[in-house]
Amino acid sequence: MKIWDVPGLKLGLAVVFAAVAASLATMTALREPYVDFTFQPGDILSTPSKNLTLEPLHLLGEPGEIIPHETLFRFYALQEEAAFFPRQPFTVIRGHVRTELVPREKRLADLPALFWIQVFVAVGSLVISGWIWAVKPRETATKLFALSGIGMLVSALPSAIYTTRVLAIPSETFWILEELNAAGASIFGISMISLFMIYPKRLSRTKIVAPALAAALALWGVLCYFKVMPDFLGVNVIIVTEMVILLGVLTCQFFATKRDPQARAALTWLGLSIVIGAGGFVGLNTVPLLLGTTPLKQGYAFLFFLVIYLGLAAGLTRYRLFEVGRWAFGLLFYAFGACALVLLDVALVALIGMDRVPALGFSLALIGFLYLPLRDLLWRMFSRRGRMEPHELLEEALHVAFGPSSEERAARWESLLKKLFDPLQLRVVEDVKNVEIRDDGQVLAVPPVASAPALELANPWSGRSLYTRESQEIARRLVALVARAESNRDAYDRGVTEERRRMAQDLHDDVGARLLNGLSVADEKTRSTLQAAIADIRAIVSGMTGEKVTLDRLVTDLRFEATRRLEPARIVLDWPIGGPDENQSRMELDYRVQKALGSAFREIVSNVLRHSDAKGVKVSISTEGSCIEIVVCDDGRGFSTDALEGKSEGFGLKSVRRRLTDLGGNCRFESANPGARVILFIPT
Amino acid sequence: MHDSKKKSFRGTECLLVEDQKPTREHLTKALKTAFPGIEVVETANVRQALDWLGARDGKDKKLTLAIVDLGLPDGSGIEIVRKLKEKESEAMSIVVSMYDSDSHLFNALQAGAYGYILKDDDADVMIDILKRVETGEPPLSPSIARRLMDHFRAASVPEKTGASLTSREKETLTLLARGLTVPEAATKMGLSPQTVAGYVKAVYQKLQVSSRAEATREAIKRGLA
Repeated sequence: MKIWDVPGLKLGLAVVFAAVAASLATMTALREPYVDFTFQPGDILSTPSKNLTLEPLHLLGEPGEIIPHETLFRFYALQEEAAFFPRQPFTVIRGHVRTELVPREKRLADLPALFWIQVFVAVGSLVISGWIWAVKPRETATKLFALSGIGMLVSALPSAIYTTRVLAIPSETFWILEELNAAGASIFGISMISLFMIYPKRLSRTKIVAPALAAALALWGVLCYFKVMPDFLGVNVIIVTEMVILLGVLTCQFFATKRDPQARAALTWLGLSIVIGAGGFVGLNTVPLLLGTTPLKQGYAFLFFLVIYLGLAAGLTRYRLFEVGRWAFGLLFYAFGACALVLLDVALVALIGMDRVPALGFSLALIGFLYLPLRDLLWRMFSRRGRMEPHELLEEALHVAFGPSSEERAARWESLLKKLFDPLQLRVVEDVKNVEIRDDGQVLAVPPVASAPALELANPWSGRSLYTRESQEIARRLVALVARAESNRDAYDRGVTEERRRMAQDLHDDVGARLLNGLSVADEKTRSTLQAAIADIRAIVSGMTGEKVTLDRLVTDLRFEATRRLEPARIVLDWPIGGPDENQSRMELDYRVQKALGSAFREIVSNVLRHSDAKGVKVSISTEGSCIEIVVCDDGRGFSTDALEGKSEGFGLKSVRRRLTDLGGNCRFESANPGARVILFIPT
Repeated sequence: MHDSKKKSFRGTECLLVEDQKPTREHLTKALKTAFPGIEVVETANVRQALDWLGARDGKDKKLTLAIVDLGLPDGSGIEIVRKLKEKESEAMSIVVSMYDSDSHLFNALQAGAYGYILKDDDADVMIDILKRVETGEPPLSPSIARRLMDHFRAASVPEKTGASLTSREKETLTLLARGLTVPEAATKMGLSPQTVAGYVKAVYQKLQVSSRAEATREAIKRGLA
């Protein structure tokens, strides 16, 4: 297990690198002596030993704006000249005004907004691109993207230093900064071009073209460095050329992603960010330079580049850029948290350093008793390392195994794993036999358990750490516990079902057999009662051992039964059956409703068979929301007035009514002139 | 449009296997009412029935029908159904049971039964079923139709014995599973009831064939055959 593989560490490295670079830049910027004065061309700088009249060239913000080589040489010479003055007190003469200036040490507060903007762009670009790389370090695309971030940093930081200079920077320093700026811009361009030759889709002949192109552009840059290239092929032209090539590559990608809508969406988003970002810079700064018009200050133009990196972060999840998911943000938030904590430390140190605290002992006590515990609490809030006691493990395992349904159990298992290991990613995989650690500690594979499939957990504790032997052991024990609890529950369930089945069997065999015996010697009246009893036993037994029945099943079974009984008696059954009814096939009836409806219907059919002298029976079943209504109409003798008034109901009808009303339904008996109508109503 | 398959049971024999005397008498009465001229051979348990079957030879009257109780004191009626299928393939078996659960009856169908009667059925219901058996239209309950559909859907081993259903057969089962009777299903399919009844019979036969094949495979697997 290589500690290097922890994504958090990689991101930390990127952040530290950016911080160090920014600090170096700041320190360099602070080395220039400071005077609170805005210089203009025509000002005369004067010391007892020297005089210098400022030309516009002295105050030029960005030497890159200079095209002819000779002018550039002159610029550096002028810088060297002007840099002499702020080393001691000097006088500035503007017209008739003489101002005495005493240079002092530059302080942080003296650095203008333009400086911080560029530092921000540099750090932001590197951190964001470093973040993506930390999350997917093996992909060439992310490596190239990180390289572009480095290029941005190398370009922007020097620019920050010299574009915000007060007067002049010694020419050697200036020259180094300028070359770094140009090199960084080139690195950015080359890496962006190479990136888009392979992402989202690998363009044809990339293996040959990309390195060749990169080498050509790099060579061009180097030749410019050695001042070998003619004026019209200078650094600015390199930049514009790279921009044009980039646009060309983006266009090729556009065609290459014709059939892949997801890649096309990612390309559109990223491509748009780049066109706005890089295009903005080139369009507003480089092109005007080449055309001779006034460009936007380089410092401000750098903000456009930030659009690229921010655009990437914004569109990361939605467009699955670099195939990175939402979980990458977990890593970033951890990094922010860690930085915040470090800054808090630094602030405290600076504070204690600045304030006059009487005794060292006092400050130590303050730190020891107040700050460190607070800091530890904050750290633990970030850490959330799921450590569980043995009894907690058992409790959780039981909670999983006794979930009411298999979906619930699978869901509980997943959330337990998430609670325990806090992985960045949870994937379903196949074929895992034992708990094992994969990918050098980045991934924990867990076998199927609790109705859940085999899973892979990647990057534990939000990518801060790796899986160890300990995690493997805990997971193994947990899997065993849950499996054991499940099999116990299964055995219990089976026992219960078996018991019920035995009871059902007894009911059938013993009671049913006796009823049958009675049936063979029964007269007409008793016959119907006994038959109803046997039908009841059947319904009870199937309720005890069976599963829930849907309404459409019940309807088909009742219809078959009715046909079976009515046809031999030459009674015509009018019960239209249409196509499969969606509602009815979805309504699951629990045992009581099923039994009540079944028995009621059976009783009504028995009545029709025995008392009604009917020729035809009409049945219709309808549902209204979750209520069921059954209407049975026959054309026979009809109900006697006694029956309609509810006075002379036989046992059968009485029990029908009771069962329905118990469940919140009702049954109505009406005269159907001719014949009788029974309406059963039951809500579910 | 007379069904050429309509059998006349006059002068033929019917084997009745039922242990309870009152039920036996009830069934005999129904048989004699449904098929005047039929001879009913009454036996009371598996042993008696198998003995009787064993003692038959070519000289006896033709055995066209068998009514077999599933719950016999010395075994299950399914044994008899199976034996009948082997020895007297012309005879149609109908099982009598108190249960109408499809799991119980499905085994009987797999063994070769043609239909079922419930022990507590009224006489006219029984007679109706028997008459339908004679005309080749055994009633098929929706739950059994569903069971049949599931069985053939799940048949995972490709059979040379033709255990998969034709589309017409599947259509028939689907309609029956929805609760239509055979005549109603026939109307819906635009065919005659006899044709549809023929599909039902074909399905039964395929069921029996595939069940036998399955049993043989199992036996081979266990080294018994």
